[in-house]
Amino acid sequence: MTDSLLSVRDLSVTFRLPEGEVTAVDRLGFDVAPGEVLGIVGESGSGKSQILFSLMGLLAPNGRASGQALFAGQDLLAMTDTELDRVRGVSMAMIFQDPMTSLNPYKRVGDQLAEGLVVHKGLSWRAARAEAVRMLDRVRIPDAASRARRYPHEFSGGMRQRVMIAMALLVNPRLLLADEPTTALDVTIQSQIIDILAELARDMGTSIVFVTHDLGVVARLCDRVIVLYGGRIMEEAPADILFNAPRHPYAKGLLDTTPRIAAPLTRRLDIIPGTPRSGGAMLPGCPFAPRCASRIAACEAVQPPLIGIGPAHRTACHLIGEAP
Amino acid sequence: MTALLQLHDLTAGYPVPAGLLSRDRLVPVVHDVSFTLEAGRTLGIVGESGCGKSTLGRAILQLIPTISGKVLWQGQDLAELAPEALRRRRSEFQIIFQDALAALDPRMTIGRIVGQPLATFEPHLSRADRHDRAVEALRQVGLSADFAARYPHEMSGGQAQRVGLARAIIGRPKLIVCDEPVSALDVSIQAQVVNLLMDLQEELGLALIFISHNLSVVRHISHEVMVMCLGRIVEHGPRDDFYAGPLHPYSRALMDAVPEPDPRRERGRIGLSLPGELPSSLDPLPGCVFASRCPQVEARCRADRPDLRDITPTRRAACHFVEPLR
Repeated sequence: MTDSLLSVRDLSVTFRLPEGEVTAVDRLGFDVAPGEVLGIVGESGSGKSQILFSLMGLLAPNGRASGQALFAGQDLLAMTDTELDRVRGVSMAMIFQDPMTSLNPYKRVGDQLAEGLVVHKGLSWRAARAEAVRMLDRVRIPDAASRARRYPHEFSGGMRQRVMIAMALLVNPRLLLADEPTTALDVTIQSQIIDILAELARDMGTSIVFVTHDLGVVARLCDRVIVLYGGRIMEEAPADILFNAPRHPYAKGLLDTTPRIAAPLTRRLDIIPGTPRSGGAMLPGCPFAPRCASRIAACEAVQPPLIGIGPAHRTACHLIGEAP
Repeated sequence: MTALLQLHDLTAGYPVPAGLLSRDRLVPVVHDVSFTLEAGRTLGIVGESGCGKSTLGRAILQLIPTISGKVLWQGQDLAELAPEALRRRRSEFQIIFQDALAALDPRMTIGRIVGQPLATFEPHLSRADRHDRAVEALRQVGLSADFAARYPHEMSGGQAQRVGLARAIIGRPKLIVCDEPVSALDVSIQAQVVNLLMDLQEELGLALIFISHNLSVVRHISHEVMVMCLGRIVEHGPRDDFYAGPLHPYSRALMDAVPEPDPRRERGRIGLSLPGELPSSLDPLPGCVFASRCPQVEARCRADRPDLRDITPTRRAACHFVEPLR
């Protein structure tokens, strides 16, 4: 893909722990086109959040990222902190599951928003505050002008997440990295936040990488989906294909095990046996092999390569052959 | 026959300090809750944060004070039991929590944790008997005997929930209140625990009160469903009727908001979210609990709180616009 906004190649993230080095993300590659919403789905320990942290230069001190992540042609992983600061909060922004950890409890919300514009764009405080109110209004915070003068604790969880989105959008980024931003919210509020993000991608052409464990949220918001397990891509496909004709046993299993609100009831839910991989050394074979019902001898010995099996459709499974 | 559990207009809440010289004041969190639960059945209770669903679960188990109304356990008013009698009676109704690991003492082995309730419920048992019963309970939740010698920190989220469940069933209860038991689990583990609860129910004839914000999980496990909003029941009825066509506008809003893993269905729903947020439950308004967000709201909804009425012989709803069928 030549028109990618973000092009990740061979991305690995490792952590130094007392018991040795642990690989969270293993030689991952993917692209994000301008205006595209890419969903990255995985369970705990899949490495999904670490991908975003590595792109933002926010890995824990014992973490290390290698490989390449070209954002608008520049390699994010090769940048110094100063260089990264010119990208972060200017053309790339991130929102988190818990907005309170990113808001300063002692500062009025409007001022926290305005600060970024004063620092990054050189606006006057007066102009920056006006812009902050405009953005709070855009994420549908009622009575934005008076809310801007309040403190974070006076906002509900949903309102705080809107503030985070407003803060991320103020600088009009080209790429928004979203780490489970709706997971802690009630379902009707989650729905409102998804609406705002979808509108953003559509009207402002912002690309979004949306990390979540919730397949339903992905189905509503994302154009394309990557299913991650044990730090590796199991399957990657346009949303319609992934949800209607998944090929990888893990992707299928994940869909089958998710209870639905509008599908015929079965007596028992389908299950994936075992527990998600947590830490430890990389296995020589497929990370999902220990839990896979269809595994063959090769699965535990050799890592299956990620191969193309259709237009924009890739999977890594020994049982699935390459498209002719 | 007497029902297993009956609530009559139960209002319950938490004590808040009222000052140095005065008694603590009880602030109601759930209001006027009435329902009947028969043995072997599952009641799903759904609602958003702050709706009082967990408080209701605790009030039923007498873990927080009743302000008015009654909890009848097999016809017996639990509030009338002396503390010691209530303590022994607790073998019959147990609870499991969302954060299962936090409910396990980190310094005790899994075997001791699981066997501990028997010290109260069956004090005559020898240590060896207690251990055997613990191993048996672990086996019932799908954990092998060697788990008895392990410690809580060695458990994964799903295993910790199984341990909590083993401890809950060791006294041979008739009811388990499950307070968001699968909300913190990965989806592949969530299905394992839901299936386990359904298997145990069949095997042991358990009644379950399954409290959750997840309408899809509740649909799977429940025989009947109750929706709560700001401390009140707004709808209650059989599972299939409820999911085929919820009566209350709040139930409908909740159901419409659930994202389903189906892109074709979901894309059409972008931009249709119900606006607004629920008001605080601390300063309740006079009318319907959902009035501030309801798309159908009229003046009387803000003035008069609609009663929870029988709409059909098996369904109840609290909405001025849902008329009883004749």
